[in-house]
Amino acid sequence: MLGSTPRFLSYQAGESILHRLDARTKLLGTAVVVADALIASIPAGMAVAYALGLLIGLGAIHLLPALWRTLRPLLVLIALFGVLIVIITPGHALFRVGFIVASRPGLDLAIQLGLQSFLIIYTSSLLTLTTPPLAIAGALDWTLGFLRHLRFPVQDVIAMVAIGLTFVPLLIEETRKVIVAQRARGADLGMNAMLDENAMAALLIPLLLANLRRGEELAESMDARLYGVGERTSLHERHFRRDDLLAATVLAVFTAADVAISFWLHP
Amino acid sequence: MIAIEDATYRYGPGDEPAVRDVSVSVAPGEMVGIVGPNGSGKSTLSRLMKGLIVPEAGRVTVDGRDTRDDALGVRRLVGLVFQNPDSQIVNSVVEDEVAFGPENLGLPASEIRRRVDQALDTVGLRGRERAESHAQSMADKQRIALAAVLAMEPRYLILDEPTAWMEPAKRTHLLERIREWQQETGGGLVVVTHRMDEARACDRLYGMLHGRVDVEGFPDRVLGDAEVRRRLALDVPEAYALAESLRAAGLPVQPGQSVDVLAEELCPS
Amino acid sequence: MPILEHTGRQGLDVGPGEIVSVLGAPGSGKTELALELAFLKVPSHGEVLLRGINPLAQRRFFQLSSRPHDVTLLVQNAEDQLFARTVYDDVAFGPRHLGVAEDEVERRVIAALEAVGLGVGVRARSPFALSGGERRRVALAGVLAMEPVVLVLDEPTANLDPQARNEFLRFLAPLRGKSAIVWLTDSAREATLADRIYLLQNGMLQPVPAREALLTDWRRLAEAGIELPAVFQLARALDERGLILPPEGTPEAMRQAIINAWCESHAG
Repeated sequence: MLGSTPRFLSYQAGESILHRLDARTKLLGTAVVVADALIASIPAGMAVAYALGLLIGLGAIHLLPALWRTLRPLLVLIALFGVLIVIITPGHALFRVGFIVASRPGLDLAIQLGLQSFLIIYTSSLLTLTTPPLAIAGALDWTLGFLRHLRFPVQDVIAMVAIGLTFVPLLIEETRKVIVAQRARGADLGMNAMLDENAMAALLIPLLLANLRRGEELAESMDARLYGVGERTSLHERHFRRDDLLAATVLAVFTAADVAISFWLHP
Repeated sequence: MIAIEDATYRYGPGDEPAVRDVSVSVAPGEMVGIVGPNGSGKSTLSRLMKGLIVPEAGRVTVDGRDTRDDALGVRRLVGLVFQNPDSQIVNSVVEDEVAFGPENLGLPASEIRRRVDQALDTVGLRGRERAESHAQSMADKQRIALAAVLAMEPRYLILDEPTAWMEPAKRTHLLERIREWQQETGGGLVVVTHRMDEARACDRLYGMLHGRVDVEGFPDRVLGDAEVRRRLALDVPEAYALAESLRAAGLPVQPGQSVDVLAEELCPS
Repeated sequence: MPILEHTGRQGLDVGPGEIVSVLGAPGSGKTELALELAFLKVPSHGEVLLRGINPLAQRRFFQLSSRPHDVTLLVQNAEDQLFARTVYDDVAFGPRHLGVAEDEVERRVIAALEAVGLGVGVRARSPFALSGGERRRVALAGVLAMEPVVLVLDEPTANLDPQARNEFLRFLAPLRGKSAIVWLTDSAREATLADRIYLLQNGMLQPVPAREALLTDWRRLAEAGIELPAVFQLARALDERGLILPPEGTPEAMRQAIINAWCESHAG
């Protein structure tokens, strides 16, 4: 009932290759892998994309076992959705069970979506595991920097996202505590609780209040340290180093291969 | 010099004033203690001194700057460490958290690095730069929050219950470091506390009650009165009360020491 | 016949009407044990029996809610879990979930609020308008109103000021002699209020002498990481310096013993 905190959104300190890459490389790299997954043909293009994913994973090899454990339940979910897609997509029938028809296009779609989802989630998890939220925020800031000229408050929005990410583990812990406390009082907080407004109130109100208060206090602490007064600098000078160049090359090569295979060799 | 003159402040329009006609001063090099029960206005005083809020009557000046006109300037001069570290730490990496303030000031990376290292040194967390801030113990999180404020190199430092989550050994250690900081920088120090041993270490004390200054003066005088201590809800450490009762029975002990020192006084080795 | 029994961790049992204390240093795993005793966590070793039967063993797959409603837990910092619009509704939450009739709910809520010293006027107020100490009392009233057969308290006086701490036992009055109470604490002084005491060390439970006799074994307590009252810490320091002290159990008796011993050794 009370397991360890799921870590797929939490940063874990370390010294792996992935850890040492510049956050901007990792952020853009993730975007590139997502694009590769979306354009990939089945099966060859997708194989290239997965090979890329595997290579990336080797850059933080010690995290893979724990990551696999966390992502395993997702496979079940993806499979379930896949089955649904196979059944409801119209098209050439593969086989029938009663009045349920499994279609060929459905199967193709299910496989494609399943493979894409898994790769995307896996890559994003690697990003958040090896990159502190504020580094991701900094990378987003740099990438979207041009929006500042359009008067868009890039820095503030990104700070909100980053702080939110930072607090996810704490929020998960707090949710657990509230659930325990209310169950200890006899509240039934199983799956059917979502329909019971009293039960949901018992869960959500304490959480909401505690976090509203925390939000205020955090804002005060940031104000007290002069956030927003002027142009911010950074402790970590962001340089692209040799490793980043290497990573960019690998991404470019695999992307080129993916594009070639998906569009020209398999029209 | 931080000078609060006849300040009154209330949080909401219909509320009772949180502080009323309060006057407090803190000079550079001084350690001033603020004591009092919950709800007496201690935290409000901290915020007034930091310039986070502005009094509706009276005024607050720091080195001549009025918080009404130059709140920003005041915030640069005064550092405030709040009570709960979980509500202050925004960054998941220790050194990034400590760097947050200097980064806001737009300082160059090398200067930020210098300040971060020095601040972590002062609080004794050197070596934990890349650790996850939220995974540390409450006591260490409190030190991180303190380092984050020290990195802004304030002239005055306000600490709200700085050792609330610490056990005795760490407590003494931290207070020593803070005193060292004061000696090195000549800054002014304000400690909001309900612990009697911390209050005793101060140069001057203000006792708050219901938003007003109830007593002020030197610790020996203010704290010597048991009735005052009770009124101000001061937490008398057991060792202190024990020493007092032993002394009343004629044993040669001085209250205000740790148990080991008491034992030494009774049975010199 | 004990009503609640833990067969793992070298064993713990508590009978109806008894107060049993579990004394453990900070970080010794009291909360984990509290969850096991309240059937909110499956024990890693042994099992927890209610009236001789393990209710979790009968659990069907996927069913979380078969934990027995006879056992209630007051978590640490329980005041953080208040949520209802009025104090009345928050205290009524527990009994209503037990399926108790509304007029009986009313009786219980009023009795519980009275037991914790909160007057009639508090009932219609929002729990968030109260002070921290009052909110904790509301949380306690909430579990009292459930009239549990077994009540587990996880450090119920943590973060309360000294006066509130001393009063706490009084609030349990309606359950005394009827319910079985397990009180987990890190304070030796609080542990002496119980009928029986277990020491929690390295995850294992060990019965220790109760009431006054507990502190006579202060050496063992110190080893288990329990913070002793200052007078016993002084006794230990003096002990190391060769001043012989009799094994006293209460702080007052120990203080007197120190005075006597010192005066004797400096007589003349």
